[in-house]
Amino acid sequence: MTVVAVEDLSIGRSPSQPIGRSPSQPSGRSPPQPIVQGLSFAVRAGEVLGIIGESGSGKTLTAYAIAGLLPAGLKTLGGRIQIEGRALAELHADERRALAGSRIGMIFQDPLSSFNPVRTIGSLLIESGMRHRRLSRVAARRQAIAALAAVRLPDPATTVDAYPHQLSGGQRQRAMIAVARFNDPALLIADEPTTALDATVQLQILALLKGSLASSALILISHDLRVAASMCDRILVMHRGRCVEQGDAQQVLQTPKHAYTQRLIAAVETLTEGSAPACQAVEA
Amino acid sequence: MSAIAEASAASPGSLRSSHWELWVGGILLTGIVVLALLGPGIAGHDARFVDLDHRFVPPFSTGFVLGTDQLGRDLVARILHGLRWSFATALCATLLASVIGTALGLLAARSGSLLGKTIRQVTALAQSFPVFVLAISLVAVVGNGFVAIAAILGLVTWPVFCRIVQAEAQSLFAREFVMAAEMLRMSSLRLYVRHILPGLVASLSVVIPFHFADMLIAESALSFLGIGAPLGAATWGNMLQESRSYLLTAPWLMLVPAAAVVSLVISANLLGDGLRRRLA
Amino acid sequence: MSGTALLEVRDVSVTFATRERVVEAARNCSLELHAGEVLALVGESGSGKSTLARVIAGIVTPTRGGVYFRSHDLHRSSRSAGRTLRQRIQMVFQDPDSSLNPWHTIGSILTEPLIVRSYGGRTAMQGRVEELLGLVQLDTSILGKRAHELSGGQKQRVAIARALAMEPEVLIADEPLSSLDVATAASIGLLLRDLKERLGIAMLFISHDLASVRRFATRVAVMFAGEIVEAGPCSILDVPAHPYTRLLLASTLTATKRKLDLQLVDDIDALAALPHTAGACHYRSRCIQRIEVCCHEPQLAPVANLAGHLARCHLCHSSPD
Repeated sequence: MTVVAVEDLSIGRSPSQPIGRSPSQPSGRSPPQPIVQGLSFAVRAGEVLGIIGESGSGKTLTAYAIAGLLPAGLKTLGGRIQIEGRALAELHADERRALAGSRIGMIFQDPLSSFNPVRTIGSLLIESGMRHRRLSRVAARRQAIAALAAVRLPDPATTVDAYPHQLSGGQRQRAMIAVARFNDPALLIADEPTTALDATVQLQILALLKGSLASSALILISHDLRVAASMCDRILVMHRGRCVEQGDAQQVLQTPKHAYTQRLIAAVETLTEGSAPACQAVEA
Repeated sequence: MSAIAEASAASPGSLRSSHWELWVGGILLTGIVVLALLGPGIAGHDARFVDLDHRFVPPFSTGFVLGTDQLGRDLVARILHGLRWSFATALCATLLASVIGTALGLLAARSGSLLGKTIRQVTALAQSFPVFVLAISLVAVVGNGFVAIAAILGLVTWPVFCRIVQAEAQSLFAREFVMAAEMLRMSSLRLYVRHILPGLVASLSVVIPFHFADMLIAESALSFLGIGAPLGAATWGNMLQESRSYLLTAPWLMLVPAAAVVSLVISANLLGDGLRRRLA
Repeated sequence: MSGTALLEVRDVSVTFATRERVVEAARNCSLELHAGEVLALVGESGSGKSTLARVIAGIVTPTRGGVYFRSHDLHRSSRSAGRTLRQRIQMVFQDPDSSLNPWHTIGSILTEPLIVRSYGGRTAMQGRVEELLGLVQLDTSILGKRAHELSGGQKQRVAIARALAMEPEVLIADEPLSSLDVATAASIGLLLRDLKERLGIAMLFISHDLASVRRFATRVAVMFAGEIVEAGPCSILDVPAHPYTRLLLASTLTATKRKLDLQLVDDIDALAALPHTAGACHYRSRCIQRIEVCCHEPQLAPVANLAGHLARCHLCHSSPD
């Protein structure tokens, strides 16, 4: 079953709101150039789609547009986004918010700045449970503790009352996954979830995400092909706001068709594969 | 910079409102400075000239734009004289406090050692003293007069600069470009001037106008109490003091200097506010 | 490798005292860097690798031990005597956004090292700046710009050019690729390697990414909790001895690895919590291979399989302690 379907999506600046000028930009009044253009893809339940691209390619904007989190000044200029068959454009703002809150779970890159520092981890879960699942406070608290245990956080009964700064980076990311999964969303979006983490913690977090799938779909956004290789069923490569290649992960990685994808793969190989000749020289 | 970060950072109203405070404050202050530079000469009358035939002339009369006081002295001339006195005293006090505070703040930020700790303790101690009481006591000991007042006010209010500079400098030393500069092993002077001071400019530019306004009020208050400028000198504080007996009969004697204090303080505050929004 | 080392770190310990507790950022670390080689320092965040790098750079003073550059004590020699020597060690930092002065132009940033060295007149300095830009493959049009106008890759190149302006003998690169995109990181990595070969600079390359280390380093030292737990030539990564190195290697993702090692994750998650007791191996609480004897701290000792291979683990040494 298709969980999210995006058709010919374009995102750009809203024409009525002029943004404050930054020094590198011209100050002319040209028509708004779309930052993302002509994007189309679909994700089914249980499937992992990786959106790969460098910073500025528009991958995060796409995720924000689906989750309804575009900041003021940016909006969908064209195309359709459908979540579980319902077109986002046809909903009122409140309906869209309710949809995003209950059917979409978002995992951000930097867990420290994504959590409110003056609220406990548990308070987010409890509030979400009370609002979207209509639970009582007691029931919500019990569910919160269970959710924290499910992401393998140590001592969930105490962690539920902990503040974000009391946890390590990896633990915060686990907590964020717990928050995102709490209402059993149809779609999980993870925006560079492991970029700030060490290799061992990254492995654990990715394994956790993979295990969270069940009947949800996962969109994994990353600049690192290596993360995509081990996690994704399908890969979509973005460059300057456009999709340059899309397909089965194995195929895209082994036989990339577009020059940009080939460049990315070559870059990864430069960084990693094979040992430097210098390694062997020492032996002699 | 990503599109999201840019969009979130800018919001439509902010640019315009910071501009008006900066402009209004800047223009007012410039105007006042011009007046101070031109001096009482433009008034057409001498500030100390006693003219018993023209006592209590109300404002907007011919010959005396702001009226005269109980001794027939022209208020315009007296206001301008007082402007010079207040402006100069407050400016010198602020300069003194900022130089001492910045120097000590830089020293305190750098040394993790005994010197740094000592300066921090002394700052905390100095800041806990009620400024005004301390100033009054010092005037009682040292005497009044321009140099004494400016020096005392400067020497009593440096902690606020020290605190700010120390905090900013400490965070600057943790920045990587400062570490990179340290690795070049340049002279300390060069390091401070080229890498640390530019980082302090933003916060200092905001604190200085506010501190200036504080010094203005402090000086006027001291004069009002009779321990600021010498008695009989034309300062705003003295004028306010003398106006007390004639509040009902000649209210302009109080209103004119009060308006002067208020407008100078407001323009300094507006400038500070505008700078804060612009630079913070 | 015989001959005196260019840079020697002897038994360095760095201890920070905060209000609540005492933190040992580095503990009894010893290293050697020889001319022309690339020594990689690998570890997770909190392992002490950045602290050790800063001690070697001279910006952090060690609580115990010393750093010797050409046999001179880097930290204890007087300011004037050691100055020229210290200038021969330069550093490139992790975050290109904060390693360039935001208020100066690029031209000014690159000229400053030359001014500090009293390189010469204005024309000489200008010529040298253009040479440096050429070395890092940047165009002279960049000279009038400021840091915020440049991309991450360009900023990092400027940072490298600034370091090279001092003509260093040792270049410390503190996670130079970690904040960059894969494509940019690859080009900067290649640049560093080319520069090292062309200019003969010894490099200390700090990274948390084992994969990139393999590509660029001649020797490796792995750090955990402030200690060096394994060290040796780069080929030790093919036959890792210490459990932590093995874990790091297993966690490393590659473009060809199609599946996550879920068994490994389960093993890690199944590990019972074990608080650290004084005198025990510091890795014990996270080690899936821990045994009885691990309650005693192991020493860094040679491993039989490879020349120059050292590991700090009871399981690697056949002889009982």
